[in-house]
Amino acid sequence: MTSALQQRSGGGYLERPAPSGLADVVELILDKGLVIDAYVRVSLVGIELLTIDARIVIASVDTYLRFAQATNRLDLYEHGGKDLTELTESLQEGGAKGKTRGALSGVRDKARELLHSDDDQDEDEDDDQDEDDYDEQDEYDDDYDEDEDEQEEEEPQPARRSNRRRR
Amino acid sequence: MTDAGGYSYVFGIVPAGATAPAAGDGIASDLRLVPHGALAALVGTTPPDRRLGTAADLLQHDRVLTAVLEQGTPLLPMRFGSVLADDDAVVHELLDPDAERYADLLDELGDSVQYVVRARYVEDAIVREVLSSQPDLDRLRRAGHAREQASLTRRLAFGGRVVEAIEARRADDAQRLLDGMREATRTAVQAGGQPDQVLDVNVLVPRTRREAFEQSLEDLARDHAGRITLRLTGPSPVYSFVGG
Repeated sequence: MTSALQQRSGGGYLERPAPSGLADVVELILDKGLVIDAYVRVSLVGIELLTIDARIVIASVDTYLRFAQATNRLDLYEHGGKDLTELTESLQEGGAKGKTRGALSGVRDKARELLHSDDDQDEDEDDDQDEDDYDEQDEYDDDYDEDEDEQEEEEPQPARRSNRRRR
Repeated sequence: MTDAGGYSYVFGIVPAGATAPAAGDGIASDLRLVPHGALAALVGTTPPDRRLGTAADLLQHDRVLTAVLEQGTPLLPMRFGSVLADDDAVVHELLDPDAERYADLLDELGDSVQYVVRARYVEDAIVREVLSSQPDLDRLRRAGHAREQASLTRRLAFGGRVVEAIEARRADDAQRLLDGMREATRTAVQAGGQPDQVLDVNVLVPRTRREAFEQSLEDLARDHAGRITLRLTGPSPVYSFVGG
């Protein structure tokens, strides 16, 4: 539904999604708005389920890896490695496969690739990483643990901080 | 239960004499106004045996209220899932007991709309900035702590420090953005999540200042281009400002 109120302003720097998708609407309306006295409301069955925080929370581990990786891209730059746009493009491809996965899952896949390429006995390394199925996430978690075990080294494990701590 | 055999789903409160928009798909059909004095509730009929909460339900709640907003009608949005036994209950249990408060709220908020602004750091830019301002981190990078070949432990520790350094910048950047939203009459900042998050804020803006506000966001986006991206949704009903 296009509307007079939701026309894009023309500058081009500002992102203005219109109309809002489900994620925006969930964010916008859940737990907000005027409330009727709880004794008066009749039928709220099913609503409570929705009010739990539906936003995706990514574990700190993934976040830290992601930023280590972002830093590493600078390295690659300096050493004439893989082109930055090339990398981000493949990240975006990874993220664009399903709305539910989101761009960060794409990054997670990328982190997974990095882990895989560390991993000599990796059984399914191939050129088709981008075709990966969502189901393989479990496999990733397994590999992940393996890596952690193998690589316990001199440094202490950083405390895993929750992304939700500011709530 | 209503004559049609369902409950009354309340979308919002408007001045009496407003016009109900079309229902479309979702929780409630047969939209109508239930008047009481100077106020009216915008109500639809929802089947008694139906659980609420599908995507279509949520979207309808917002779509209907946005349509009312676009008519220029002052509006207090109800929380999603507000259901009363029938239209009589809407009058006697919702509108009548709190009529004065609703009238005051309509006066206070009816001429405003809500926007949501999301600001995020551009990952590469902020990482670069952090490294150039923290030589110790840059030394670790040069020593290979960020490389794929580095151990997971090492990369995690390094990434954690980069994240901390980014988070240390957030408050100042968020404040600078808020300062630029001059048309805002109220703001409600939401708590943070991801490290690249600079600011998530709900903003109340008078309808007459909409264009100026959108332009100020456009200006902010241009000023911060390359370092911070800005995303603007709205105008929407004033969900975040009608109180809990």
